[in-house]
Amino acid sequence: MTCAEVRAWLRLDLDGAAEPSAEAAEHLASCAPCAAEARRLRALADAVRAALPPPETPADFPHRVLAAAGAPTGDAVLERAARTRAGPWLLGAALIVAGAALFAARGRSAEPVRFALASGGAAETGGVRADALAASSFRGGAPLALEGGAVALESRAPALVVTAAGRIRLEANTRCLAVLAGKEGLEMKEMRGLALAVVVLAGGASVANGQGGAAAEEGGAVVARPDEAPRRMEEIVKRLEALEARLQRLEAEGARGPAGRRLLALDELLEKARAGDAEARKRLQEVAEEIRRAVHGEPVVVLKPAEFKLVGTTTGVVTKVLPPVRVELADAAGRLRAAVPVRPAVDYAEALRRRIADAEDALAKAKAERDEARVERARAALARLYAARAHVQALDALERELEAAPEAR
Amino acid sequence: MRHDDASLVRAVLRGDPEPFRELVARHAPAVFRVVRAAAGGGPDAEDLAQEAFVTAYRTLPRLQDPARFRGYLLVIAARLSADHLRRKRRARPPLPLAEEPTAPPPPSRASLLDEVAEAVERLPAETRLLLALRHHEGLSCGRIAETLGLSVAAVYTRLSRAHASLRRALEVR
Repeated sequence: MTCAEVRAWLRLDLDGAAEPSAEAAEHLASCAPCAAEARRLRALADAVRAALPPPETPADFPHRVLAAAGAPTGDAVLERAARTRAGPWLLGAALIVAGAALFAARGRSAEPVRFALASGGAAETGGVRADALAASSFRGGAPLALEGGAVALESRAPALVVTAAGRIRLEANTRCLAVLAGKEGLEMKEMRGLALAVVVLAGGASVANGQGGAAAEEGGAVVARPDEAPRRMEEIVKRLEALEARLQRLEAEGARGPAGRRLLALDELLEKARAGDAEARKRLQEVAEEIRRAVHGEPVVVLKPAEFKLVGTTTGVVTKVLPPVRVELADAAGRLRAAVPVRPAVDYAEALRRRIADAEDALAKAKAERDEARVERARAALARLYAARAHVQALDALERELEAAPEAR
Repeated sequence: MRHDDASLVRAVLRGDPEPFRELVARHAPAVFRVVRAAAGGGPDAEDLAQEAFVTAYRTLPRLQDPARFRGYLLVIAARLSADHLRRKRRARPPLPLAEEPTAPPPPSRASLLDEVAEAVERLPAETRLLLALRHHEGLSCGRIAETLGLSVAAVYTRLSRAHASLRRALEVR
């Protein structure tokens, strides 16, 4: 490069428009006038930086931000739910799960019952359908059993989900023991947040594809064969409890303790491996295997024995060790849409009343227009809504009963 | 021990808002620098900074890589700043695009820093925002253009003119 070209390159570089150039660097190393020009431009950039100093940040600024953000407090999850576009429906979904938890915990555990929150995913697709509640308790945590229903969970509380249909979606922050008794397959997709799932496939349910199996592994899920399920259940619950305790410990100590430091080291290793460092990749495989053993112990029978991998779809430290799992059937969206959110939130009863009124209107209109297809759809929708209303009434009764017997909680 | 951004972001995503306080404290200077470049040092800058953090907090689940929180936040701050400038421009006669200083720099000022500071102060707010993103955050023309929704050519032209005028201001000295 000539001096003129190098100086043009220096100006482009100052403007943020230059590509790195080995030739320019070489020229600058050997040409004093151009090197002096480079120093002048660097000084200019430094001066611009200094000319735009940050103003004093008001002392209470972080507090103001959190207040303005409506940062969640005690009722964090419900508040967050209420803020989402799914709003009342989501809240309703949350409360029905709570109701299920309370129902299941009655007489089984003296511990305060926590609940799993049906997340936006459920609300988007119709919410939780909770017909045939048959919950089992899980450590006084968040038992929830669904038969022929679908649920999405987002909670820090552990949850036990039993579903005949196998429509389960697990999102961030879920600890879940899921028993899928249906015949439908699973598809595990997006991974983010921190979650842990133990999935037991029973009654012929199967993993839809290899990716799902791998995701189950990567997501901290242990998939058990149907004939193993009943025998292994207690063991799995114990393991999940141990994992939960481990997670809590990690969360409590953050990166300060030995586990935290180890995770940070792992993070660095992962970065190197991503950059193509073969040694780091090899070491990562070893670490992954160690983690697998540490986290899962000897795994319950793994349906799809897949090599445990730290996945790149999640980032950060802890999530690399226990990335979340999102379990979802390929056709879950359509089916979930047909599911009905059940349980009154603050405005739920009113919302349900309005939906029933709308559906009745739609049916009447379809009949008047003699549109058979719409009549059929409207009838089906109305039937679901009537069923939802029945659930609402039943849960109201349950709530009243629980209120009358607080010691049962 | 100081937690990195990624672990704080993950803690917030797990439902604990407190770590966000640390993220605010950590990145407020950079955010203020960006919004101040656009809005000056008045209450507008504080409002914009607050809005940037609140937006980041509420949209945190969308952040794919928690380690990139700072970039995510600054993109929000820059976009809010650009919107702010557009609103102001609509409310007032358009700002001149030329970055020429409106008056010659006072010859008595001795330090290079003061000279540049004065010259920067005379630049249009849009250009100050570009300079902040370029020199404080190290963004390339392309990234700035992407962040602010401008063309690369527009960003390059403005930055190039700004640098030329600053160089001239220094040469006058």
